[in-house]
Amino acid sequence: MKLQMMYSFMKADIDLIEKELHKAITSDSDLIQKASLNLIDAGGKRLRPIFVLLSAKFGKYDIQAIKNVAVALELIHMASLVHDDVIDNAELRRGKLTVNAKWDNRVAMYTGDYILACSLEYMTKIDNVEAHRILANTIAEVCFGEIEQIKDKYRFNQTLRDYLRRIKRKTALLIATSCQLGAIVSGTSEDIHKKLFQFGYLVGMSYQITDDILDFTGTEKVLGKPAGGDLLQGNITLPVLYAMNDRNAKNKILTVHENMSKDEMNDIIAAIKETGAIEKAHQLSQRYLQKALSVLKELPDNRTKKSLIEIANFVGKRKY
Amino acid sequence: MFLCYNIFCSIFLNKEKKDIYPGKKWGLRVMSLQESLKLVASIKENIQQKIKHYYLYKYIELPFIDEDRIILLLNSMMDSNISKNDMAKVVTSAMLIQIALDTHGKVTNFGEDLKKRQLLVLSGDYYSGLYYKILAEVDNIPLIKALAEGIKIVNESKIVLYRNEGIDIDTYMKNLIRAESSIVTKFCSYFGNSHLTPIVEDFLFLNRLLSEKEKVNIGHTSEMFEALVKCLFPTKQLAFHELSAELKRKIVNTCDQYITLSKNRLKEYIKDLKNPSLLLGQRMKFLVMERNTVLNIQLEEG
Repeated sequence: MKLQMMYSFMKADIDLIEKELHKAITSDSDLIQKASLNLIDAGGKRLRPIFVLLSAKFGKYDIQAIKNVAVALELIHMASLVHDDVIDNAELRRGKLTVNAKWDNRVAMYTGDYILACSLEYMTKIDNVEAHRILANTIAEVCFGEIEQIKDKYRFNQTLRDYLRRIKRKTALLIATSCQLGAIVSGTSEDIHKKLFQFGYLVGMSYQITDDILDFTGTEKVLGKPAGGDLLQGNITLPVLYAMNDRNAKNKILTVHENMSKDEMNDIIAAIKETGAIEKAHQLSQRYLQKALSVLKELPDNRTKKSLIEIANFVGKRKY
Repeated sequence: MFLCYNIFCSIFLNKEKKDIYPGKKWGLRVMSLQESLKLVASIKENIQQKIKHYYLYKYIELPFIDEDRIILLLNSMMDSNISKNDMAKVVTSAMLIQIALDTHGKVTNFGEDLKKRQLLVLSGDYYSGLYYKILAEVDNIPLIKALAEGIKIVNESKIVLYRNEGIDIDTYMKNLIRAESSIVTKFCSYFGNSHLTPIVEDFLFLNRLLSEKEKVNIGHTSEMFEALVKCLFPTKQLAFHELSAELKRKIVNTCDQYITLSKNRLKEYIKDLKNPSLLLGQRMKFLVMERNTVLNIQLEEG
């Protein structure tokens, strides 16, 4: 089943969010406008707004209020992508030229900061201090996590715990916060919004592990970047950590450096795959997913719950 | 004089580290010079504590914390009933966003160590996150919005300055003023002191012009001077240091004209300003009367 089908009953609201995203970026600067729309128009799964809307269904659902959180979270995600592409020197994002590739790093920096300001402006339409505190903490944690990620590059002696903490900050927290804020703004009880946070966190962990697996198993055409790109950049992901338990694979992995040729990299990818590390990583991703599904069981039954289950399953099985 | 000011701050910084901000309501207007200096110093120290990250500063320079901006921000709250504790927090958050934007302005396109570039991006993001976090903690959502509006204006202006495509010098300077001052002016407006906007704008504009001139004087590259070359001599396609002495002089004279205009306006503001905080009054006088602007720019052929 396609992702969009899983929340088709909310199509009108999703379309509204899409329109709001365009409306949110109305700059006096043509260049900022173009650069921001470049990313919005490239599409994306819009996972964060979807989680916000679905979680809000557990409370008093008011799209006019909830849309502000959904838009703010997607814009925060977008701002971070624009800056991430500067960090990674990335040329393509969702099959389109990145802002830094189409213009340059400075334009990307100013655009990212502009988008972040737009997101906070949207968020301030929500007069709920708890929601702001949670989001602010998440943003600070995500940023801190990114600095840690740079610190951990090419650090081959890192542990599974280091990796899990990193992906929590990198991905899981913002998804968890999306779920929690949707619930808080729609006025659910603390018990429900905390469970939704937990659900989002577990799905986010599973999502990032799958992402890290796809870096080795996906094709360049589907990924929009060469396979093994994360490792080439020094990011030690779960498949790599597992593969390092194999002496032969470990010796090869330890030779990785940023100027490595494609052939050399392909040899290392093959060695990683031979160890069974991909399957093992997949198992951990599935364990997170199963936990997420069991958290959902504790929530009230409704139509939304079915969508959340389907999305969680999609995350576990996705190929892109 | 500025040295004395710094010594003053450091003396107060080392004393009384505990209970720097008593909770009672106390506008800046009633503070003595010493109390104001103490507050500025403690806010500066607070910012340093917030941005302290041992790994970052192995690769990038510690950000510059502009005490003048702290003074301007504090001055905008001089009639408010906000406690010193909250005063320090909101000023810290506005300073953090300014530092974040300044840090991102240092990200270059080429020739920079990759790790340094990556950390400039991330540290700026981190400081932005802290601004939001502090204001969320003190439950000041309207100020988050006001500063977000300021961030938007700063970035729109910076992109005009950076691209510098077919704009005249007045447009360039207008955008420079907006880029320098929008965070502080939005802060002033939020505290009901929009009338301070012209003072803030000229204060920060003049500071920037003098700093750019000083950079050139010591042989550093100035983005502003390079931009002025492009504005005034668009067909030349030369860097400032490559220009003839005559053309260099024209650029310097143009910069001086803006300095003089800005100084004259500030002098008028000083006359008109009713009861500025003692500290701001001192800093304005220093900037207008004492800071040396007769710089020894080398004007030989490029």
